[in-house]
Amino acid sequence: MTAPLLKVDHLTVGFPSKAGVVGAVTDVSFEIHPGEVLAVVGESGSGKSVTALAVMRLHSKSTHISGSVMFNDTDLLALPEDQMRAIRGRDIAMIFQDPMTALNPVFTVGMQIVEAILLHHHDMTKQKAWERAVELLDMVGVPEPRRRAAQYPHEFSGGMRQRAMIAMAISNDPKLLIADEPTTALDVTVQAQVMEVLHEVKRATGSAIMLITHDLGLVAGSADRVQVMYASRLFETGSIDEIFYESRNPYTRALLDSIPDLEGTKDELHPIPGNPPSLLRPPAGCPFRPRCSMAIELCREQTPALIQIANSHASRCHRADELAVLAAGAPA
Amino acid sequence: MFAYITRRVLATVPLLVVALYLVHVMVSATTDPLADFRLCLPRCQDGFDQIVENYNLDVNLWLRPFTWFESALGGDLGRSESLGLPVTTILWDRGINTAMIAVPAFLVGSIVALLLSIYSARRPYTKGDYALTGLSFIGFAFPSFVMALVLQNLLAVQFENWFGVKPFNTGRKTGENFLELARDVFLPALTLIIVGVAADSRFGRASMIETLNQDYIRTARAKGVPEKTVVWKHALRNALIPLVTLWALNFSALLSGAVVTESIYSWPGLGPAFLTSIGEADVDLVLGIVIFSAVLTVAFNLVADVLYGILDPRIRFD
Amino acid sequence: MADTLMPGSQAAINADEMEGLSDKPKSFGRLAFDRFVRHRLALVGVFGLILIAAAFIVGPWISGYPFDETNVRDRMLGPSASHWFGTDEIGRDLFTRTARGGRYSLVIGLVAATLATVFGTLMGAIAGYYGKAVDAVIAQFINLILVVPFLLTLALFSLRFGSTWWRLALVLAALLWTRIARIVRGIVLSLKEQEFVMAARAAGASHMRIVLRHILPNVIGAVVVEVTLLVGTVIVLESTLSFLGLGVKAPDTSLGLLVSDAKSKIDDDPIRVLTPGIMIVFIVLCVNFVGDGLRDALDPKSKLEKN
Repeated sequence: MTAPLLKVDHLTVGFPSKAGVVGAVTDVSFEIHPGEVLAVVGESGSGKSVTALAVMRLHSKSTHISGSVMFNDTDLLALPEDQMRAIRGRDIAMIFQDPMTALNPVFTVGMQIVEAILLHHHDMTKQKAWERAVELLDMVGVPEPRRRAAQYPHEFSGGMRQRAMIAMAISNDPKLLIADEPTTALDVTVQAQVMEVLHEVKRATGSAIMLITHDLGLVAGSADRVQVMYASRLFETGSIDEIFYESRNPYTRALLDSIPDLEGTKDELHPIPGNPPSLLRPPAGCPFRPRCSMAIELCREQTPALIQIANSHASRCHRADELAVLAAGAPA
Repeated sequence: MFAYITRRVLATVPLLVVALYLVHVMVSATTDPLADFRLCLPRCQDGFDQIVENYNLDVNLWLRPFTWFESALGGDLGRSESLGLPVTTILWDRGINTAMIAVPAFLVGSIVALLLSIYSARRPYTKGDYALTGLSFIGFAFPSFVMALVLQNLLAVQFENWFGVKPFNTGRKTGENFLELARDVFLPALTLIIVGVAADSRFGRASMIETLNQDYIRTARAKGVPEKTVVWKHALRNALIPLVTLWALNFSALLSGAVVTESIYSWPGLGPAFLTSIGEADVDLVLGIVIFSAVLTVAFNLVADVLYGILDPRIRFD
Repeated sequence: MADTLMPGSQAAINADEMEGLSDKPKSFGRLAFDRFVRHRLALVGVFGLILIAAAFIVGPWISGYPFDETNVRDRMLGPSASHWFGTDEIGRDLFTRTARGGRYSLVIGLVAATLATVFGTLMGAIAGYYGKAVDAVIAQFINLILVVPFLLTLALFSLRFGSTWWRLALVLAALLWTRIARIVRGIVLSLKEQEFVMAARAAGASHMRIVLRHILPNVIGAVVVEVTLLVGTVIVLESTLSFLGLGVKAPDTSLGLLVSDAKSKIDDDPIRVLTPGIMIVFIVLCVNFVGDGLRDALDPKSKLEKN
């Protein structure tokens, strides 16, 4: 196996608030290998976006952060700000959820891509950078790229803006692309197109992708590995098959159960009852326990550890072993 | 754009006409320039008749404004009875005096307010921000007459020789020497600056904080844009958009004369002239100043709209 | 298997299991109240206002001088135990006069701001709700008020009708309702298109009922903040008018008038200018603190900003 591109160890992120520290990410460790697509799945507030922002070091100054984020053997969390800035946009680039607000409304789309290029290519002329921006827009499927580059974001549709965001993100051939809910704000038909562009980009550039989403359905066709987060913790991690067909975690199963099925083979939807716990005052024991259909007394007393099940498969559940038996007969 | 400006100007004309008509009627109805003469009749019949003629008092109250409109259309804004000069002359001379304190007050005030806003917005809810916000709260609570009197007393007593201000010995004394003029301008301008900065910096801070919290700022940081460029290029350009309107309002208000501040420092600007015109029922001068300030307001609002369109590509003039 | 799992999961969500879940949703009013109480400046403001109002109401009763009683022997006294703020040039007790002026400031501020808010909200709601011609007429009316300098209108009014405190409050309200009207109009315009209003209309609710039941409650947050800030504006304007001799007039008194009376003696006795001046600043400061607290409490966005 190749050396990991990104190795996150014991990452813990907390936001100070008047009522105490909100634990947004608790002891999360994972790896991303070159060219791999890792999907990070969870409900909103599970800590998946905060993890990504911590990798980019884009959290606010007051945030408590510990652990390590090794990128190509460099600890990003220990890096001086100016060196970190050189990595942002060049080695690690990010695509955000809402393309309507993620582009600066007062600069043309082309200029914003040009800025991204010139920041990391100091010797390139502005003209060349502009040509490159037009090429990039063409590559992500923006029609009439030359004309569109001179337009402002408000003249773009949502899907086109997200393509422009992708063009901007890949402008420096990053080794890692973090896509934070890239399709959530888009229409269903456009979602598929944008995912197609992401795949195209991956094929063309070979960059690894960290795909953050709450939509397990989106993950199925695009990811190599999946990691499920709940209430700031990693709950299950595994290959796509392990998660979808051999899940050892009640939360993952509940998530799978709640996916609407387009073929209509499922009779009813099973939304997960209740709400995620407060991150300010998390309950004792397993954070999923109040909503879990399999909770036992132990779950109330003790937070389960992440248990290694197979080489790439781990689950945080006291009853992970029992679930192996159930897995065979579980409704997929 | 030209069509837009023409349309805007034309749209304000009827409003201005109605306003001037009402002001004329209101001033005529509330004041009696003949009050002093009624007592001495018939001895002072000549003076009485003179006043009647000057003020068109033989014309019906509701028709009187039309005489004024007629001459105003010919460019003649009438004559100020209280100051004994043509209104246009007064507007010109006094306007220049007012501008002498309004322009530096506006420029310095706006820049200082903007810098403080940016300083605060970059570190919200820290000690520095709290200190500035606290100061602006206090400054904002000062009516300008209290601020002017406090500054006058403080600086006139502490630095009496430097400023040469004693109460009732302020104002524009010479126009020859730049240093002397700067000294005379200093206190009234400072008063306007402090009051203005206190009000503007709170607004500017809110605008800048809101902008810095936008998604596109995070995008810029994710691209690797240095923090300085994030603030001064990406954020400022957006935060300026709401500020431009505020500046236009401020500047036109300052140029129309700061009534209280100019009066306290005996600065011979439009403000004291306005007070005099009201006290003396000087209809022509009142109308002249109303027109002056209205035209300024409309003009600067237009400038603001045009700047708005330049700063924000989403705005279109049609 | 779903048969065994699902009922179990539902049963798990009973009351005693809820502990540790997200904070139970509180009502908006309760949340706003909590945020307001946690806002230290707002509490300082409320406390300061209560304190100063009490001093202005109870103080003269303790000091025992009528505000207009002259005493030729006690002229131009400095602050002392018998005359807390000293006396003026005809021997009137300055504390009693300051208290009277302060009461006027507070009362005029409250009355004018309340009247302006009620009228402004009504006009704004009508303009936003009916739109078209009604909206245009109200907009032009507002422009007309704004194009004439406030000072002129106030001065002419005060010259024509005299200037007792309630007349002053009335004319201030008549000039200051425009901002609230614009804000309310904006909110109503956006609310009007929203589904719950559409639904009410489809259900056959009358215009009056829609405005009162569905739109006004949504407007109240913004209005409450505005009315507080307006109190500060009114107090500043009133004191300025009185200072210029266009507001409350002698023999009655107000804070602005007291400053004006003392300003010719500022060289010898700056304290006499400062006391009423600082009173104005203090009152307006407290009012604005309360306004700021209310804004933070009523604006759901402000909480996010702090995290």
